[in-house]
Amino acid sequence: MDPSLSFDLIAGALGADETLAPAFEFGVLPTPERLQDLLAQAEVQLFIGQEGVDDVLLRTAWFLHGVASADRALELYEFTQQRQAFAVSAHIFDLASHDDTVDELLRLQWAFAAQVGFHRSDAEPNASAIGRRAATWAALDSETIDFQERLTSLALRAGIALLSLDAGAAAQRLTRWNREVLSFESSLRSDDAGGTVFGPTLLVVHACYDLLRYLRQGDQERLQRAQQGLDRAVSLEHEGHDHIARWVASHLRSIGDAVASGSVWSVLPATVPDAAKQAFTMTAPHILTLWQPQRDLLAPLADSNSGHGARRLIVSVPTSAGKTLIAQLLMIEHLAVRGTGVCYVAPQRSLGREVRRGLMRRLRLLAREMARLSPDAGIPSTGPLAELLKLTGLSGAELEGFSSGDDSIESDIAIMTPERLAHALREDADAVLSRFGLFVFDEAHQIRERGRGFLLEGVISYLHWRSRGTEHRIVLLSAVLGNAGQIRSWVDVNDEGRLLESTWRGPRRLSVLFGVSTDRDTPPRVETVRARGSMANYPRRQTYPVHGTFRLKPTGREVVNLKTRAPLGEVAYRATAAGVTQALPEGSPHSTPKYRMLAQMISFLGRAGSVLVVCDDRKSARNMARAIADTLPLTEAARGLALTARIKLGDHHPLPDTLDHGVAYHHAGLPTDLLESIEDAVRQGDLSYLVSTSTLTEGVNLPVRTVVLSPAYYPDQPEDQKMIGPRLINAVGRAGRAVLETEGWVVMANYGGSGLAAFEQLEPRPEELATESVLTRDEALTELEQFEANLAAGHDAAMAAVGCVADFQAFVWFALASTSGELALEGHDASSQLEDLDELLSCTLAFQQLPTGTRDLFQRVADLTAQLFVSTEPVARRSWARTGTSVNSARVLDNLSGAIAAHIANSQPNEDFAQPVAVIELFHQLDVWQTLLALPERPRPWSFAQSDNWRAEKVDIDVRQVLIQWLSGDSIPAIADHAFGSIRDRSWRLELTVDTTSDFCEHFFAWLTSVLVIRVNERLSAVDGAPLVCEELGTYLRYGVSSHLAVELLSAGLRSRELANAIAAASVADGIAPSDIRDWLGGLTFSTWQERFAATQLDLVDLIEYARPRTSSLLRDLLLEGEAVLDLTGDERFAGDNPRVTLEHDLSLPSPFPIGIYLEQAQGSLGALGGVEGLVGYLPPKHYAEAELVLGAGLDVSYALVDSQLVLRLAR
Amino acid sequence: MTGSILGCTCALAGAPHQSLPDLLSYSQGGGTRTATWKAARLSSTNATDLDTAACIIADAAVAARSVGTPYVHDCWSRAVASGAPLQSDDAELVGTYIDHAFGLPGKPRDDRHRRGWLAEFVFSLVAERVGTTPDRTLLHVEGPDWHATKPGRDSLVIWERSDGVIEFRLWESKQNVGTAPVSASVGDATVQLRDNALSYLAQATSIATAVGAQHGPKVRQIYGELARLWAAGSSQSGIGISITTSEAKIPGRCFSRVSQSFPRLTSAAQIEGLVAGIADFVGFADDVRDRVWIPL
Repeated sequence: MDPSLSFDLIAGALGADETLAPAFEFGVLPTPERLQDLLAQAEVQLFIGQEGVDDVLLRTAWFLHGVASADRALELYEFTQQRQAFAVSAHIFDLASHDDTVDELLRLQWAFAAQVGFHRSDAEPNASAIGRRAATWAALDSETIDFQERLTSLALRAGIALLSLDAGAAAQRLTRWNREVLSFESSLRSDDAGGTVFGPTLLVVHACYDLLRYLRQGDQERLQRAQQGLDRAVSLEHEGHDHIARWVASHLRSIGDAVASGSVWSVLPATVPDAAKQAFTMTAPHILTLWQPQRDLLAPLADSNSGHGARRLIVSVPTSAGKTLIAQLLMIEHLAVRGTGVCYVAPQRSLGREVRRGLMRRLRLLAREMARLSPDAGIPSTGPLAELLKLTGLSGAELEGFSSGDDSIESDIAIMTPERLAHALREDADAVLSRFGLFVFDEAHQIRERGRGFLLEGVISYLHWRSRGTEHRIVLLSAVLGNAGQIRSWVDVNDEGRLLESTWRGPRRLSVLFGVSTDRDTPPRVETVRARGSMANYPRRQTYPVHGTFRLKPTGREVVNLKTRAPLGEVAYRATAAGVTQALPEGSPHSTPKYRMLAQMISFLGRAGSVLVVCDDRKSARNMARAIADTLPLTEAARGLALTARIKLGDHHPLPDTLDHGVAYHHAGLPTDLLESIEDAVRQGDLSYLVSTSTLTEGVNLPVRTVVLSPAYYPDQPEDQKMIGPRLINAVGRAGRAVLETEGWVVMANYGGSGLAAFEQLEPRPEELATESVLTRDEALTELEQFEANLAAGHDAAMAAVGCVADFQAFVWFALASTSGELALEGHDASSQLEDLDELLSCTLAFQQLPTGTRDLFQRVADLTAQLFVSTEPVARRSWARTGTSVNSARVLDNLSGAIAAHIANSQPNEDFAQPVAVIELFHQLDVWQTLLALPERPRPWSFAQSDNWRAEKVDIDVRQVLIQWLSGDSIPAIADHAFGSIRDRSWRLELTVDTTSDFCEHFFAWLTSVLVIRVNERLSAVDGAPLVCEELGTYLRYGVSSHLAVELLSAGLRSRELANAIAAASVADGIAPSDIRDWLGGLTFSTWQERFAATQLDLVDLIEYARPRTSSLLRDLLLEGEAVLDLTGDERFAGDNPRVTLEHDLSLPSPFPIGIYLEQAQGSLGALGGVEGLVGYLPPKHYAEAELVLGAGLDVSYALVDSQLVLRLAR
Repeated sequence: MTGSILGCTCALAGAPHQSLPDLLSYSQGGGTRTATWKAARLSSTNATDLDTAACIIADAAVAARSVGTPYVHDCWSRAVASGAPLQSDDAELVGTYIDHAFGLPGKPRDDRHRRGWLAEFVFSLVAERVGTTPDRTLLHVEGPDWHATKPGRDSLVIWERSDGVIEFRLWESKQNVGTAPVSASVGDATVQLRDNALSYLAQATSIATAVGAQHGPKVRQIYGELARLWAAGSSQSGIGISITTSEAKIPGRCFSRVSQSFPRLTSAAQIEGLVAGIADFVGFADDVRDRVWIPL
């Protein structure tokens, strides 16, 4: 149960003051037990839409507010009690402020009191959420009301806006109010408006504005002025003048100090340049202050004179505690202060893309760019593709073959998967260590995942081993490290690093069990039915209404039960003529399936905020989405997304239909770009209902208000589908959107009666969350036994290794190659190779966690592998180390490459093997694809059936045809209808196509083809006159394209291969030189992008970022110089001079809203002449990203058109 | 006795004026053993004192509302004294300060709110006189808010008893006009205090605790304890209810039922009351407003 309802907190807040006995006796205050019950009751009532709280609760909230606000110097209360009192009062005020039936001024006071309580109890995100929520119900912008009338509540509104710490809308409001107050002051004809009866309000508004200015721009003078103003507002000079404004001032004074000391200006070291701090305060999401775990992490950094943080850092904080921002702060601080780059590693590409997007805007204030996204198997460092990528701005460091110590290459931030980093290390570990000084591993607990876990462990272990005596820093981040201390001791043997472990989180998270309850008190609906056979004695059907039930259990208290007022479904029983029913009910359609009743409930929950329903598998997710959609009307909210889905998946796919009702589902069987569009739609509030498998909760930072868990928990359920341990915590962790909501709900569907076991299920024990090496699993022992058995049967060490033993062996092989200097540019002493290996192995988590006996067995594997390594021919062993496969597969690939090279060299073929399709055909002819598919690295067997029933008829699918269509840029429906045309069910066919292209084309074939082609070409290079094969084939397969330009676009951040192909084709048709592609795209219009390239809304967002010039930063110039210029030369619309124009989004058009230059209204007004008549023209897309960054910064900027230039000036 | 008033609107132009507390006559209220209350009256038959009272209140109100801008009170006073209306810009300026309490000639305020504010203001002027006894002296009094319609406490009065103990009384002021008995207004005030006292007190604690607050140690101490003392029913805590009405409506028995809403306030000294009966209060309030409006 969430700490907000814990008895200790509640009792601690009320205190153990015996003088309060009359308060409890006469009901002025509730006892702690009663208060806990009242709070739980109020929570559940709010959950089911019944707003308003009990008077006793409100009275208690004010009592606690008074206790908490008392002067600490008086020592009337313990510090802990006051903090707890703030926390509990905030909770009550928060619940109360949902009540829209009360007077607005009263509600504003509750909202502000809640914000104060949250701030003073270190729950700042909740204060932000209250502020954002208040903006939706309070008449904050009602400028039609006379200013003097608004003065009554203006201080409260300003206080609420400030404490929302929202540099967007709230900041704009404060800026406007500050101007209005200045104007009002001038009407007072007083030298000192702060000394009038209006003084407290005026002083508060100015102070809020000044505090905001400080938080955004670090202006110390503003901070001092705000403090002085607030001091004056509460001084005796204003006794009796404005009680509420003075109350607001009193709290802002203390919170303002805390907020200032928690701002990036205070927390980040002085060595960090202002631009890096502005990167957080000026770009979205704006970070004005840091949360407790972030402050805890960074405070020592600020105090450190040395300016360098710990070399090893383990961060174990819950989801929604700001882990992402911690990573961003560390990375940008590193980049801004130190001379080396940053490597951020995320197991999921989607997470990597999200982090990349989050960093891109911030980096622009540092005049830096993100490194290109490159495939796991890298991009060829030579050839026409490499040349093009260099021309279009690829960071040189990203190319393979980058030589360490090249000063001409600027350090950057690269986002990659563990596979990509492992590949780079295999290629040139020294170059990696030279390029990057900081390695951040997100979701580090995935070390424990079978399959990829050991790869991640191996990479971390290797980097740790290589950087023991260097300044390289390694950061491990996770929300679910049950054994964080042990993980720290793994990479921090000398105890020089830090462990940041915290259970802090912003929104409170409450869990309820959802069940159903048959209403036997209501007379059933009775019908006579045909009774035959075994049912002959049951000629009646009795149908009863079924209600939904919710059970919430505060710690140590009774379960709070609530039942839905209306039934959610029915249950039917066969009955005798006398009305005696059978023990078990009838199934569907006579009884409503439980998942459909849950769907009814979910459709209700979605009205209060987004709902994520997590199912065990794809089929359940699809069915649940359909069931929810059936309860909802058609909606326009996700119209654009539904259209995109129809284009990408075709009409027969079930997803577009559910999207028409505002419901999406999300699993690995859908195209990546569509999944990301769905995620964005949920983030933007266009979609309120999302049903997913754990692919979403494991890999994407997508918080929602309510998470509904609908686990099946059936016997023999695959381990990777069970909703337990970290998987459960990650799913539950999505509930509650920090700064948007103060609470998140977790609903566990549980139909098993009234037992309490399900409550425990929701809170896994720490041992269930321990991160342990996959080599410690039971399967490892089995695979070790198999290794020994295979050896005994005469296999060599490579052939003998299977499963995780093979993974371990591949790591050892790579380590041997690396330590012997065969791969590194600067090698180690070969004689110490085995000694180094032992040291490296001791640096793995496995060797620290394994019992001695098992460790010895793995040591034997290592020793035998070393023997094989030494006995293998040097060129071969070097090439095997680079494959990233098991040693045995590397040997197979090497042999295969020999066969291919020999065939090409000997047969003098007519085909042009520089063409990718020719290579695909050749590989088909030589049975290469089938050989690859026999390797253990395949994601699964290349096997297909007519349906997802295991007994369904098998279907043959031609690899060659799939690959050729994939490379040609055919859409998913087109591939499905041709390559998978023999599968009759079209939606199943579409799903298989997506699975196949994703798992096989984008990853497996792309990877092994790259490996093969490199080795084949190495062999062919040694043969005079032999043609080389297309070295970009692997890259093309990764992206599903066949042009260099399309690779350029996709690796630069575009998500849609269809879009990349369309642009590539159009640029050829228009004769655009590849080096001019960015400028060409930037000069077109949004509608051209849509019409010519069929670009979707998501595509437009990607293109805006791509088309942005790389050499300028409007916002950076503005902040540095106070003035900046946007060159619009050549565009007739902007030729006329105008000293007063404004820059605004046109919200009347679809998103992304165009940014227009408008004529400003007559002098003195605050707004623009909206609409067509005031529009000078929309900015060309190339300027969109820069202009949006300025608009989003919320600065007070004036604009003028002079000599075809838009001149921006910052107000002083 | 106060000095002469520049903006005098009564017959005492240029002469010293008595203070409002001096103009009222006081008597101990009866009819209850659970509360202590007083009646303060100014009879309609005493036209001179009534004239003076309206003059004093109008001047004090303008002065209080324009604190920090001496020019406003000064130009209002001069205009009143000269009998000439203010120039439009000065009239607009004065209007800005008085509007929330009195409204403006062309834009009058709701009568109930206007009289309510006046009732609070009258109490603030007489609070010390009414509450002072041989056993206690005034330490601090919070005045009425500047806005007529703003919800919140009307006054908090802090006393030091002769034994050195500090006590507070949270006051709620009501106006009572028309046919409604005074007891109805007392009932309204009782409910308001019962339901909202903790919110008023908690906010007062916050204000007094702030860095910029300048109270002495004794006042600071009790501000810190307001919520606890109130919830516990400590003898240091208490309430006060002030009703400003017409002289004729001053009851013989009053405040007898208030204690039922505050069972933990066991001493009659913890529930204080004042019924201020000023002639025909509706007419008196209008008279004060009209005097304030004279130069507009």
